[in-house]
Amino acid sequence: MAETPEITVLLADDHEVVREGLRLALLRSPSIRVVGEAPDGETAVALAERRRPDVIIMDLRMPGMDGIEATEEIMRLMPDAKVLIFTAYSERALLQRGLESGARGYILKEAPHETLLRAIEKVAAGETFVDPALMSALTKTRDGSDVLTAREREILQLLADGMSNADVAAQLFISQETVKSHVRHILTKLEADTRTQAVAIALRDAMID
Amino acid sequence: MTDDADGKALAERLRAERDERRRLAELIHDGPVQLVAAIAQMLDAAHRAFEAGDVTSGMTIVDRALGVAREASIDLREIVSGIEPNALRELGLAAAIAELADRLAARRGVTFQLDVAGGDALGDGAQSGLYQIVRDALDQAVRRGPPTTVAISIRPADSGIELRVVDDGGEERREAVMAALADRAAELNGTFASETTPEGTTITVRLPPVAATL
Repeated sequence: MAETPEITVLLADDHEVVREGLRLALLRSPSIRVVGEAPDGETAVALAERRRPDVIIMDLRMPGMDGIEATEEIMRLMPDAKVLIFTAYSERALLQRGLESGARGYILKEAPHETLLRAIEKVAAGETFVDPALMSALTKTRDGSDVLTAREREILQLLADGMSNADVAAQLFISQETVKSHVRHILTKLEADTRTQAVAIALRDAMID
Repeated sequence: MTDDADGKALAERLRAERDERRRLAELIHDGPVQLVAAIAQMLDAAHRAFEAGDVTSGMTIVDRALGVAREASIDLREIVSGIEPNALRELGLAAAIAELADRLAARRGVTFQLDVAGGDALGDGAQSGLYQIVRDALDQAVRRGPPTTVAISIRPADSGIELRVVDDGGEERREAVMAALADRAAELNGTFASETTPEGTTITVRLPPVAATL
């Protein structure tokens, strides 16, 4: 972590203006270099093969081959590739499908710059990342009740925001052991529900240190 | 028999409403949602430029973000007026189509030939249905085409009425959109045909006399 090696990224989005915004935002980051842009899934797969970027930032909805199909194809051709889904959709079903397709991260298009950078860095490092803004929606069941207690949700949100177990413990005036015990409960609950399993798997890496 | 016909009509209406909701969701997702996300990214970039003391770059990016914000504003206004155009209710089908054409002419540089005065003699239901067909056909033409010229006519034919939308945009149209247009024509008891060649697309909707008065 002392050195910040350059991370190369490929942008796949059918909206030129979105790629432009992303390119401008990433241009200011010395550790990130955009090595290609694709307006659809087919081009994203071809460019990923040719340029081997560290991270492929992938929109979900594109004409022709969409982001999920393109991610599956990329994972088939290059199992080591790292895809970060970048979308305006916040529905849990899509998040789940995205993660099941092999993507390592899922982030909303309006995510703050710091969140975007963190997502790119985490995914490049082989970790998983789910947009913190999606956390509360993810733990709700279809009938609207929450699978987590208020305390568990609070802890999940703090961890999702990037805090370590120690930070959370300090903030909530509880011991690290208590935080870890809460995290274990959260994972057990999420994994028990098939609809949140993929999310739980994604969270496990992100939350347990 | 009547129950059957009623049930079928209801099912078609429900499907039309569902299609309309999907169309709106797509329009909003594809337009303003993307533009606003891009604005946020651009302002992030500008913020960082100013932070680094690079005022010139910061201003350039802010100007660009402003341009995109105005585009988002126009997009939203177009979606709102497309949902329920005042012109259709107050002035009739011909005026509503003329307004739609004016907007596309101004924004996309498309030239229109309109012969749609015959539309005003139709019943409210037929006017509203044909308006939606014209609107969605133009939307698809502009997205896929894009055409330089579009001719729209509403004329008497076979004792009923015929709507034709002829454009010179060479690209294939999305099948799902064409199917939705055919559904709308069927709701009006009409027939639908579309033909795409490298020279463009022609859409023809025929309404029988009884349907034209709905």
